[in-house]
Amino acid sequence: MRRRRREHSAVEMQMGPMIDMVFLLLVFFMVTAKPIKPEADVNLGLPGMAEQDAPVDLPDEQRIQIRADGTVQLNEQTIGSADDRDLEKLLEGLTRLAKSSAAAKAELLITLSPDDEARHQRIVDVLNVCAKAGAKNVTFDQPSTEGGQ
Amino acid sequence: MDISLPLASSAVMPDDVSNRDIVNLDGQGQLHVANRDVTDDEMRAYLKERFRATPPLKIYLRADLNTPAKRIRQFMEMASQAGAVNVIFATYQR
Repeated sequence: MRRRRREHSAVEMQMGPMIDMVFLLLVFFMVTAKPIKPEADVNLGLPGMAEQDAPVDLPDEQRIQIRADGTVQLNEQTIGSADDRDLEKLLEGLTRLAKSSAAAKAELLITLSPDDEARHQRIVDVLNVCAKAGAKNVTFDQPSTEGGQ
Repeated sequence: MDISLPLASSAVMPDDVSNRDIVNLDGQGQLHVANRDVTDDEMRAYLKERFRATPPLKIYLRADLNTPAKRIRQFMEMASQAGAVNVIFATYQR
């Protein structure tokens, strides 16, 4: 009778180490897991072809140049330095132009002319400002033809 | 594909991500489709075929924040010649 009791107590489950292990695994996965960063869209229209017979309303075209060092120019006037991320002056200028285009019942068209070596982030910075100013028609000028891969 | 996307405050989360073709463009200007390096000529042929086979198609360009503008414009010209009317730039929301 005594013997049976001893055997029964020997198979008792040890919960302490198991809980330790579960917490250890939980902490490991929390530390090593990378958060998923959702991607978002910036939509850009491509230049299309207009039919020859259709009447064409000439848009009010403004030109933004992006230099290789990140300097931004609006119609040849320097309006943003390389380290100016928010481009407040460009926003002011574009907002004013958008209002004057609306008053003249013309469509504001912005043509981006980035230097070949300008960085993509700088283009996106300028697109942000165009969106804030309410410019809906934004496009790129023609690329240089040589140097493809 | 290890690409650092640019940050954009004007970016919007898409409601519909169907019918998109993803093209990656790394910081050196190399084009990739489905983890495979492709030349400009291969990309032109690929886009032409895709627009012929499955219109209307949206081109989703995952370009690195350091990609030179020249390569972005060249890609946009390829897309335009293949029949695309717009290109979606992939970004992270700022």
